[in-house]
Amino acid sequence: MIIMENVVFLVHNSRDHVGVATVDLEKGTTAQGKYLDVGATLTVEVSEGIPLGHKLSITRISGDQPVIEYGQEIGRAIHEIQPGNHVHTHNIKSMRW
Amino acid sequence: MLIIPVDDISNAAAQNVEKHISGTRAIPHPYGRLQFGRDLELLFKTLGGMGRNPNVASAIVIGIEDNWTQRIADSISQTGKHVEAIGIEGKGDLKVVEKASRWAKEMVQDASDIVKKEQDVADLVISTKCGESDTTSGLASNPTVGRTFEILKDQGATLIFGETSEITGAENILAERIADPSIRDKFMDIFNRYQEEIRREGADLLGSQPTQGNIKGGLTTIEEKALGNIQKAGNLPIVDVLDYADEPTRKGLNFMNSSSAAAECVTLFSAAGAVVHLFTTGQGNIVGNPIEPVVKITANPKTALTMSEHIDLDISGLLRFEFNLDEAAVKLHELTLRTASGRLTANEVLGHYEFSPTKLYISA
Repeated sequence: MIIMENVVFLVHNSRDHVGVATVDLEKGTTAQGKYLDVGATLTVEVSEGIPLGHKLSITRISGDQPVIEYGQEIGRAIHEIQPGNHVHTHNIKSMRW
Repeated sequence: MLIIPVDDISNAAAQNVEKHISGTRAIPHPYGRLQFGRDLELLFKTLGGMGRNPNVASAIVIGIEDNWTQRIADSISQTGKHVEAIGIEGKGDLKVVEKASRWAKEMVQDASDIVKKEQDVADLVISTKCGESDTTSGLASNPTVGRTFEILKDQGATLIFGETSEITGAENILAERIADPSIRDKFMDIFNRYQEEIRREGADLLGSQPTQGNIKGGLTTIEEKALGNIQKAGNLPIVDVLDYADEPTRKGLNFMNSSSAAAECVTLFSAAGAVVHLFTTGQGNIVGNPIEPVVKITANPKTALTMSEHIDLDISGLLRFEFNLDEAAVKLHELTLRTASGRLTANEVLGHYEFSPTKLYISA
């Protein structure tokens, strides 16, 4: 298994369901991330390729549940999302429009 | 020295004066005929505001007829600046271009006599908006502007942000920062009116707001974009809520009702008197403005590399922990003051002078 030693994704808030990749993340790697509010680190096994700036799930999110980023709701999961999954327009939707 | 066409058919004369006389800038636009009511008032406020902006030394207003032309000139002359007005009807382009060019020549020479004086940061009006944002905007460049705004607020500056559609999902966070209940009501009224407009159109905004570029950069929903957007406001309270192109009267952070489209939004801020704009970008928006220098900031390392000529400040090192947010804000604060002192921004050197007045409804 390839373990990336540097912090390669950032999580705004310790309540968040997602982190943001700060480099292109490769499928099958174990990525190290950091919470921006509390400073703690965490690791997630990346289950699909995630480009720089895109989100990865750091927890299991059930279908139809609100997805949290910045400690706030940013949308609703269309179906269940597993840790390490790419989180984007294919699996979450705005609750506004 | 600004050459202001009142209407679309006066653009040619204004641009011909610009060609003849170095040091002038014309601001052509597609409007100005058969507008009425709020929409006409906004055009007057926008054109007059461009001439009133402290970055402009003097102005010539050229319109097809005298009445509206003089009205805009009168608004500019309230500032004490030298302003001239001329109508084309009864004269034709050539006579107008000659007369305006002779005025412009004198005005440019007079402007070159103005000696720079030390000014207080408290006298500055500084605006911000983001464009072609991605998640690096919410993570790094927008918080850097937020921290810079906090420093500028402590120095007594007047600050403006806006983008009415782009606070959707974060509107309550902002509303809580408005102490005065009547100003808070005005804010929510502006927000709700635009939401109603979106509902009336019945369109799916995905692909427009967030934009295709936003989505490519990893932004998924309007709520996520809005939560990133409001990082530019730092932790500041909102002291006043302005309608389109209103000149701010209170120091500290002002919210302005405005489109989130880059050129439209910066145009409204410049017409309100903002003298430096802090523009964060993720995927690489290249907008400029005819009179307000636009400082481009990116935290996206790919954009900093592939579009380097458009970027004034690369803070992608924040994502690699090479420096912290306070250090990034010190860099931006320093660049803001250097820009206010006359340093040219990338947009100015590259010739990005987009002027896009906001249109509220179809002309008669």
